[in-house]
Formats: sequence, C-alpha cells, structure tokens
Amino acid sequence: MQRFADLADRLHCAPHSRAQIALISDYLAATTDPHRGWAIGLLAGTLVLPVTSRTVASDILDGYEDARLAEWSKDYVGDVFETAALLWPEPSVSKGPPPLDDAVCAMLDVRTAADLGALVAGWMGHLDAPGRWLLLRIAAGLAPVTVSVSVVKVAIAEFARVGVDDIEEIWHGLNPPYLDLFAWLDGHGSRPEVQSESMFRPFMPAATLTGESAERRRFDNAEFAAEWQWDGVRVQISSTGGVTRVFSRRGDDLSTALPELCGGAWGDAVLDGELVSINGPPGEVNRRLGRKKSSARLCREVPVEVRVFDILFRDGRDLRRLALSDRRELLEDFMRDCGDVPATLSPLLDYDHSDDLQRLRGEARRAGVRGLLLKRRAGPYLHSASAGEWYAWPRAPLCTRLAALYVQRGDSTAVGSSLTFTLGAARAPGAGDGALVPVGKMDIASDESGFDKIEEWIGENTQERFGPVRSLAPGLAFLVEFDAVIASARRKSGIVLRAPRLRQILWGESPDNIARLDQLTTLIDG
Amino acid sequence: MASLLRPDTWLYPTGRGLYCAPGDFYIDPGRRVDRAVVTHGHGDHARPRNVSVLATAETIEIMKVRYGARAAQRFQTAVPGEAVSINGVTVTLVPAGHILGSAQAVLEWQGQRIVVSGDYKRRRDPTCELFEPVRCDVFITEATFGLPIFRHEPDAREIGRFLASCRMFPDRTHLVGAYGLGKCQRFIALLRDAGYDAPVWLHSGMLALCALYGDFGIDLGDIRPVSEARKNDLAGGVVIAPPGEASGRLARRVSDPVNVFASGWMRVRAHARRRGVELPLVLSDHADWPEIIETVRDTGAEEVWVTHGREEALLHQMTRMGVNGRALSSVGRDGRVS
Repeated sequence: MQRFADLADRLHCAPHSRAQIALISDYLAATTDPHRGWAIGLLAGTLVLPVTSRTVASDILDGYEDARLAEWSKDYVGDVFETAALLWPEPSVSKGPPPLDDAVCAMLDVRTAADLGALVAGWMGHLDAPGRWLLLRIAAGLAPVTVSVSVVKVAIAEFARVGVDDIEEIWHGLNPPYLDLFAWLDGHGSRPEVQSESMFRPFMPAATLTGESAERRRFDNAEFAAEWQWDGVRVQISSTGGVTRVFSRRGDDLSTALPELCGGAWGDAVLDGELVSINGPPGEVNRRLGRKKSSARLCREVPVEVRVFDILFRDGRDLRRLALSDRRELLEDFMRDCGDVPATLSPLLDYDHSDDLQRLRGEARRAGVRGLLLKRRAGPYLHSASAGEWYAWPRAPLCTRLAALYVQRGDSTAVGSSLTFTLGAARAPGAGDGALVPVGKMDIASDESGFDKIEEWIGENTQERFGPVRSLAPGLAFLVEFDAVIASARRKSGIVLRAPRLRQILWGESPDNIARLDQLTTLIDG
Repeated sequence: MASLLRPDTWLYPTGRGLYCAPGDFYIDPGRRVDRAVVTHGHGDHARPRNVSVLATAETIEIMKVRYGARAAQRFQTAVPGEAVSINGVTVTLVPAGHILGSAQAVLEWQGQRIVVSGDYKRRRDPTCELFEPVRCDVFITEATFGLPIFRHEPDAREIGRFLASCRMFPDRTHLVGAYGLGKCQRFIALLRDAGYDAPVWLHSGMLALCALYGDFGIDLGDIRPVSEARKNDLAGGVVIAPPGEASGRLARRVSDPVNVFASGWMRVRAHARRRGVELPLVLSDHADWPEIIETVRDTGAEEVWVTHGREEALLHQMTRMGVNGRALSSVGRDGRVS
C-alpha cells in the first residue's frame, strides 16, 4: 500500500499527463498482481467500495488531543482529509502498512461505516503522511487523485508496450484487479475475450489541416470523399443482442445520459457519428453529457440525434478493413433497413476539385458546421493517426482584438513552457479599463516569437497575485483568431470564445480598439 | 532561579531589534546599530553596516562574502562555548544547528539566563554543528513551524525520494529550488552522503558560499555553474537555484524540468501544488513542532518568548505545558518607552 501511496503522492503534484503516464507505468512495472490491478481500479474509478465514510477524517480531528490546535491546523491546511493525515502521530515502530490487496479486500468486505472506521484507524499508524491522506480519501469514496481514465489506459499501454487501442477495446469488459489483463500483458495468457455485448471500438482520428496546408494540397473527388464536420460531440453507437451503448471519443460510456439513443432499434452494428442537438445552438448538446441521467424534461428540451458517417461492424462482421467506399455502401444499406432511430445519414458533398472545396468551406459557418472532412475513399477504418487518410479542414476562423487581463504559467510541454492568458473584451464603448470582462483563455507557447518580451513585460506589470494567477496592468493586447462565440450562462460575460489562438501580439493598443462584448455577442452560433 | 529580576527589564524588542539594555547591544538588529550580536548569516538576521559585530568565525566569513566591505566596521569572533563580557553581560554563543556557523546567544546578567535561540533545528546536519540545549530562565524560540501538522520527514527518506525520481525520469532535469545559504549546501551534502557523485549544477549566485563551505572543511564534491553547462549536460542532471530563479528564466533553459522544492512548507501538499512544485521535499533548517516542544522542555525554561511564525498556536501549547509563554512582540510593552 505504501508504494501506491507514493504513486498517488507523486501524481497529485504531477504537472502534466506525460509525467502522470510515466509514473503510473513505472508503478505497474515495479508492482505485482493483484496489487497493481487494484491500484488501477482506484485510479480509474472502476473500483467501487460497498461502504464509504467521509466522517472518518473529521472524527480524527474531533478526537485530537486539543480542539484548538486541531481547528487552527484545519484552518491552515484547508482540507479535512489532509489535516487529519498530518495530525495523526508518526508511527514509532511499525510493521509497515498492509499490502494493497489485503487493504482493498478488507474494505470490500466491510458492511458498516463503523467497521470501516475501525479498519482505517488500524492502518493509519503504519502509513506515512501521504499514505494516511490517501487512505482517508479512499475510505471516503473519493478518487485517490484526479487522473483521467485515458491517462490510466495510456499508462497501461506504455508499460506493456502495446497500442492504447488494444487496451481500449477490452477495457469495458474487464474489472479490477484486472488479473486477466495483466496476465496477457505479461505474456502469460491470451488476450482476454471480452464477453460484454456492445463494446467500445477505438475511433479513427482525422488530421487537422491549416489554411495553407489545405490550399497546397490538391483534393480530388475520385480520391477523397467530402462531408460536413458537424458541430457536436463524436460518439460511437455500439449495439448487439438488443443492448445499445453510446461511447465518447475517450471510450467513456455515455449511455445513461442518452436514453433515446439506447432505446433505438439499431439492430446489430457499431456506428461512428456526431451527436448534435436538433434545434438548439451547437453548445447545447453538452448539456446532455457529463451527467449520470437525463430527465425526460431535459430530453425534451435538448433533443439530440446522431449524424452517422461510418459503420465498423454489422451482424458481427468486422468491416474496418474494407475501403471507405465499400463501408459507405453498407452504411447506406444499414440506414435504409434499420428501424426507428434518432439518426440521419451524414451526406457526402458534391465537388469536382479544390476550388469547390474552398467554396464549401466558405459556406460552413452559415451552414452551422465546423468545417469539412475529407476522407480517402480507398482507406480502411484505422484506429491510430495515419497520414493521408482523414483530414479535418476547419472553417476560416474569426478574428478580433482582445486585452490580456490575467496570466498564469501553463503546463510545460515537450517543447517548453507556456503562458495562459485570460482575454478581456470591453463592456461598453469608451468605458475605462475596469470595464473589461473575461471572454476566454488562450495559451502562448515559449517558441512563439515575442515570448521573452511578454515574460519581461509581465514581470514589470503584474498588479496582484492570486496563487499562480497574476492580474496585469493594461497595455498588452492580442489579435486573436477563434472558431466561434459560444453562449455560456455561467460566465460573467455570458459568452466564451471557442479555440482562441494567437495571431499577433499588440503592444500599446488603444483601449478603444479592443473588441466590445456586445459585438462579440452578436456572433453567437445558432 | 528565584530571582526577583524581571527578564523583560533587561532584554526586550525595540524598533531596531532585540535589545539588551545593560550590555547596550542588539541581537540580530533589523537596522544599523553600534554593537550587534549576530546569530547566523541569513539576511533577516545578519544585516550589513553595523559598527561592531560579535559572531562565530563562520558567520563573519559568510557576512563578508555576502556584503563585502560594507559587512561591518569591526568584527569580533566568538568561539562557541566561550563566554565574552559586554558591559557586564556575559554572552556565550552555542551551536544552534540551523546552518554553518549558526549559534544561540546565551545571555547572563545578575544570575539570570536568557537564551536567544535564533533559528534552530535539532536533527543532525552534515554542514553544521548539532544544536546544544542550554538550561535557562527564559528561552526565546522561533515559531516558523508552530502548528502540530508540521513534522519534518527524516532527511534520508526525502533524499531517497529525490534519487528515486532521478532514476524514474532519467531525461528530465531536476531543478531544485533551495535557499542559497544553508539549504543548498545541506542538500548537496545529503546527496553526497547518499552516494550521488555526478556534478551538481548551481545558479551563479550560490557558488561563492559553496566555496566558503569548502574552506570550512565541508566537501560538496563536483559542483559547477549552470551557466557553463551545455544543454546535454543538464538532461537527467541536478540543478540548484534560489526558489525565485528556479521557476523563472532558468526553468526555460532546461526542457521539461522536474520542479523540486526542499522546504518544511512542503509538508502541506496544497502549498506544493500552488507553487507548481512537482516533487515537494520536506526538508527544513527550522525546528518542526515536536522539536520546538522538546527543546522548550530541554531548556527547563519557566518562560518562553515566541517570535516569527505562528505564535498563537505555540503560545497555546505553552499554556498546556504549564510554561509561561509570551509573544516576543508583546514583551516589554508594559510601560517602558524604548
């Protein structure tokens, strides 16, 4: 258990997902079964304890030798779990913490919160401070640390030197402690046969074209099929034996949030498409996601459907090796034959040569789509990025002048560090600097020319610090490209810019030239 | 020690610093004075431009390195454990275990003894003498880590975590934020004790003090200025820089560094996250909560004056222990004009 605690402690402070992946895969290599499988279950949230209790930590604080010292400590640390872990006396002589397997199995057997509390108290004296913190969080039913499931899957893949798709394909059919998975990855067993009906299949990605690269490239209708890139959320419909599940791009199961999709008569097939809201603006579709259930009212308010554009399986037959043109025929057959489903076929666009594509792209914004997709007709359905197969060509961005309000050092990347700016628009024409209101965030990487000058300027023009965030004096503005303006009720400005990117740094820009909020609001999609 | 003399009549804080009235000298004065006793070389204790300074030989050399000609007009070297008389007040410097040359000032006057501990810690440190507890009537303690949540981990454990991280990320530079005097040298010495013998790259501002440690017989092994490193040298290497520098320009010279910070504050992981520290090491030159309490007991003091840090909780703890605790800032405030 101590090793898992060390891992959680490092993950807690890891600055980016690459570091998290390295830490987890290192842990998997150094840890035996079934401990590592339980660890994966805890990190990915797939291990659910029958009894959890949030009061274990507060009980420790209540029982501390002096109430005022405990109170001051909690005020200082902030987090009850961390405070309790730090106040607990250091082990003087310890036989060491229980192995993770013993600890998890004991917690799985617990039937009452009191028993859980006793169990935890018995282990506390054998763990160090980060270990105690971890234990209290687990007992409370909280994630040991916040790690995305995709990071966990990539870490497993890197540890075993297999493709992440190989993990994705079977992930939903496996359970902690994942003995069959690790047996296969270690070369002691065959790949687990996932019995689960309606499983997830990895998506085929599309490479994004920039304006110039698209213009240099000649597309020809005989080689590349063109479609709209719908403005929604990419989903996979996986239906077998009367059970339908809907998966997100990362393989998360969205089924419970989308009851009308799961209730459809899909027959036996795996389909790829884009989930869109039928009437509302594009962002609406997100209201249907990120929740366990959708109420009947929400389903009525935000009706959704899928624009289907590919078929991966039909009647148990794997179609992914077939050429796109053949799959398309099968898809059209399927859509004709299938029953009542909330789905439409994503049409192919007619074009002769690249000039037509330019024209179509120019119409994308009016058509309410994100741009064009170009797919090689002869290509198979691949689940890893492969050059020359699928391209996304986004519609031309919008562009405006925005002021820098706040800055924060971003996650460092392989190429260097970055700065994340909060961008401000003017509330009313001619209003003072105080009238700027945030409308989005934009990263600037350290390889951008002018980065050093910006850093220097920030050093001299920081007004206040709020933890890692600095508020800036007026004087720095940007010419910003962005894809769209999205309505967002929870933000002060009521809008947020989608995909803002730096076009140019503006020094000494007059406040009068900063975009006005009312102008931006008129650009809201839908 | 049933003296009727009130200790706060002959030692009390003033605008210039802690003042010993019969001896007419200050301890770690914050502003320029004629006669100063300096406990150790950190900037908030040792200030330049005093007229005459009594300190250990190490502290004097540190001040000369840091301040050059303006360090002080006159220095008087105190040999640890040997008493010096200043206007009838006996002053003895005794090791405090904080950094090289750090000392407690033991003051005796009219049969009363007050120990000004300065900054101190109790655990063994390869770069300085171990703290020696002195029995006294009044003990003046810091309260930097004056909450029971602060318990520093064993050094060996933290260095072990650091070296494990170096092995786990062999291509990333470990960029250690550490104060240039004390923590930096102790960190290197602990690395060497743990068998790490590769070069350690240092921010240029740290080199002179490391050389001084060498003069006092503390071997830090192969240390080099980071300005002379080629990019390849730093991949997988260890760079030490002052905390501010570590997150600024230097951080961009090394690609994708592991930000390490060695400090007692790192015990609270939320601090580490706020500062963008990827590997927090709980390594401090200040006493943690149990050490403060143990030290108060060891001194047998009936009265404890508490200074810089979280006085409130420590004063509460003194009450629980049956010791008369006072915030140093409140000492001598009852009627006397200073």
